[in-house]
Amino acid sequence: MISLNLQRRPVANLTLEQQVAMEHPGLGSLPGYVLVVFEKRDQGGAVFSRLVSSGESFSSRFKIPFRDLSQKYFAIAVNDSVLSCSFDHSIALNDGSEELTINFHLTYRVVDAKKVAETLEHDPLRQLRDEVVRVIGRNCAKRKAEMFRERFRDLERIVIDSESARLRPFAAELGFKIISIDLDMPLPVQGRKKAEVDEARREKQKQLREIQEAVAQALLNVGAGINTPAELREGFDAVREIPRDVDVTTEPVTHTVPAMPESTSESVQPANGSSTVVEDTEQFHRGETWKDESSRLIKLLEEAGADADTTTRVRDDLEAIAARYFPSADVPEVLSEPVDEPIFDSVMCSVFTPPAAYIGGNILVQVFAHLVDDSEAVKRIAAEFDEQSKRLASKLLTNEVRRNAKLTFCISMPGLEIDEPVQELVWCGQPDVVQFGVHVPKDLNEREIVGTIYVSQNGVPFGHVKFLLRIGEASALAPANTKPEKSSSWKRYEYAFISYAAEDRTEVLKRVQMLPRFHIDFFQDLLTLEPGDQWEDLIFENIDRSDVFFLFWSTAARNSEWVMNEIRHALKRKGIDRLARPEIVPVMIEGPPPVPPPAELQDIHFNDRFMYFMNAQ
Amino acid sequence: MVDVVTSWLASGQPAILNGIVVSPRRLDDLSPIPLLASGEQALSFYLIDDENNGWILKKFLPESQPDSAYVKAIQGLIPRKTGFESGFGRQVLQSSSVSGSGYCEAQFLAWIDGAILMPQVMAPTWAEVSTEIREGAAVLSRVEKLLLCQRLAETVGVLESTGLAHRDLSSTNLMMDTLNIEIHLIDWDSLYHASLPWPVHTTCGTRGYLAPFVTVDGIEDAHATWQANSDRFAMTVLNVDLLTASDGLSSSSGSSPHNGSQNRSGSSIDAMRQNLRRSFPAAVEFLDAALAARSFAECPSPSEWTELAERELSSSDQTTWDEATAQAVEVESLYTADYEPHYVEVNKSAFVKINQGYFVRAPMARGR
Repeated sequence: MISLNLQRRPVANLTLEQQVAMEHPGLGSLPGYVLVVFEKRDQGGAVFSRLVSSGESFSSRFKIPFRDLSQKYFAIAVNDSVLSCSFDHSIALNDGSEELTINFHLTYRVVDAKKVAETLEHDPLRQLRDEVVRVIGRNCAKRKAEMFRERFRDLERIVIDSESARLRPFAAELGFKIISIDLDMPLPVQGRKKAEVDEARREKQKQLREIQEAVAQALLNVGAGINTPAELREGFDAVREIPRDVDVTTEPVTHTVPAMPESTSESVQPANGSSTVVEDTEQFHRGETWKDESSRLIKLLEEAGADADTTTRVRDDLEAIAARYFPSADVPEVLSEPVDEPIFDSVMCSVFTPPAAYIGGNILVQVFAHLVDDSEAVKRIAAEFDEQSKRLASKLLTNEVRRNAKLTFCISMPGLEIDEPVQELVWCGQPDVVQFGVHVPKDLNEREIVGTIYVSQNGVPFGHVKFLLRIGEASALAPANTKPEKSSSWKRYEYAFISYAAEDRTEVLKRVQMLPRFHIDFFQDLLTLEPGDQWEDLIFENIDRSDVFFLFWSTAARNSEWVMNEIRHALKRKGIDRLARPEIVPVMIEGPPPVPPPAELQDIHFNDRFMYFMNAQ
Repeated sequence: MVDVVTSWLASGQPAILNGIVVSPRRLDDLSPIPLLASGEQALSFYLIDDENNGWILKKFLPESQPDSAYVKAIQGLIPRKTGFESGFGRQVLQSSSVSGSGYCEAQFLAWIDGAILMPQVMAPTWAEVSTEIREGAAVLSRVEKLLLCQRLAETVGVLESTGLAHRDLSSTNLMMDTLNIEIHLIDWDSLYHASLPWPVHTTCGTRGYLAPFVTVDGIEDAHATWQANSDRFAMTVLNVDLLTASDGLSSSSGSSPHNGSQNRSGSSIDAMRQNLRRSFPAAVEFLDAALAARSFAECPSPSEWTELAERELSSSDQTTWDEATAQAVEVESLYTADYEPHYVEVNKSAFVKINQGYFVRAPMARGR
């Protein structure tokens, strides 16, 4: 018999991220959770009674006359889904040379719900996390700093492989199964000597304080009579000139925000009192102004040489403030919550469409981003828009998605006409959808089309989902017999080839710096090479090795014989297999108007719309 | 030749060679004899500088002294990349390289002309590592083997991409940092590049790593490897050796593809093929292709090896956390250098296969 404290603290305080388990009022089943039911004992404590799966109903084995079941039993709901959490850990290398921060991404699931429920008081997930950090951190510390910088993917492989033997049984002992552990390093990927680290840290704190001061002052300005975008901008300019010795509060200002009159106008108009009710339009413009000014501030910060970490933190601060003060201005509600810790979700991407399309007809392709638990809900939503729709593909995205991140979906269906091939949504933790109208031309010869949904997060493509769509005459198709799920696949990009013209190198460098964060390696030497025959073999070998070929497209690229050679080699590598690697993904860095695609790629992704996936950060 | 350095050692005075303050290392703490390695063509003396960095001073035997123009041209051709330090960091010394403010006896000045000073790579050779593995003193996991194999292919690939061929890849010319998956090449004195003059006294490589077609009627022809891509056969032999490195538990321990590669057949080759077929079946094809090749172009290329390793690594990635692979990983982890007792289920049946003598050896500082 185990002894459980029935007056437990709320599980939310047990740092069980992702809601591994929670107390469940009553004994009714809970979708996505296994109920671990305990029987209370009169003398105190409780004993395990049974497990109740999702959809199963609890029934007492014994009749309990005149007593409510809840007087005898209580349940703990244990999550039955694949869960994940991320955490950082600093590692001082054993040779004393450097200190580095590693991001850990732990994906796991509960395999022994009873064990997890019984040990809830000891916070099993915390134990697992601590052991992961201890074991992997110790292994990493033995390596050289160069390995972190130059071959982090190899380091990750070797460390995870060698420590899996220790962590696997440890996790099992706690009732978990580890599905994967991914390591990541914050950008810029560089280690520094300890003295430099300390100096950089001090400098970063100084920078951050200055920015916080600027933000605080700007907030004060917003609330203290600045009523037009011009005034707000002037406020920002003034803020940048604040003397160091001025003591400005860094606490968020919670005073009433005055309404802004016709804010698209640059003319100064009187403030509209101190009303807390702000018209949507005005609020929108105010938010837009804030966004513009925030962008300028970030740009100035980058020009001043701030590192990526500082810039990210400042950007987060600004977004959080925007979410708090301008909730209707293109900022999701979720950020109105406290933002001390960013929230990441394991997000599924589901593609719904009629399983077959007819020559000359139209179909609606719906792409949902949702949590695993919302799989059924999105099916219902999809049916509301199109009752013929079936789930053709449904894959868990391999990178966790941060709340408030912009997810971009780009559809490619060769031969079909798509009205808006690139669409975006902001991930708020709730199911959301983008919809593509697709027309099947009458002269189409193909009877099967492999559709591809490219997914990018904050401008960086990190994978694609493929699905198969049958085309034919209405009478010739039998949708009921199709098994579309078998035809879908999710491919996470792992190794990228960067094809670009030398003239575009600066623009390309800005964009590719985000790739390592999404575990996409690329041939880095390529960014320093000049085109030339002596590198031809090396370059072609790397194209052969890649699973995605990012083509940075511009006038210079179009005129570059070298880029065209790389395209031809990639196409040769693909052959006639539409699913073969590398996937060619154009990244437009010039226009609009767009630079016309090369003849060789007319049939691939350059449809009637263009991708501007990777925004310069 | 040794006397000159012995005198230098006895003087207790460092020499300043091209600005580097170095002294000879002793054979042991009290020995009056300098530490050196003797090769067929040269003697290599081990030096230490004032910051405790190791250096090698290589002095060719008079009858093997290569053309000075060739030796001097080598350094500028080698890419400045990790793995090639002893190549791009080498300096051909002259009497004028020796500063008068350090040790500079007349005999020493005359002797040092034509010697090569290069940074010492602080890692064991693959020959040493593989011996330790066979003896059970070190272990390489499947992933480590694949990453090293991939690293060697990448290293050769970099040479090929710049039109270079090392021409003497062998287990003693590969220095292995297995912890950080680094491979360092040494002994660059047979280097091929189209711009280099034909070097007198050159060889075509090391026996056991020579492609069968390099030898005609039992005579090795150095001209046969004086061409681009001529490292491919030796790379395949070394990669097969890496992939099949045995931890002493295997019955086929001790066999290596370079035993018998000259004849394209033999019991060692068969054992190796069987070993490969069990663990890395895709590599059998590469071994056979290299053995059957009539030219270096027919041998597996660096990119083919890289791809093979990547495919196998991707496959390993997917099974890392599978229960089915748990046993194999646990057995390997028992013999790692830093193994600590831990709450891991141990398959005790593994112990009966181990020679008890191995347990008295001190754990290796390197390895995993």
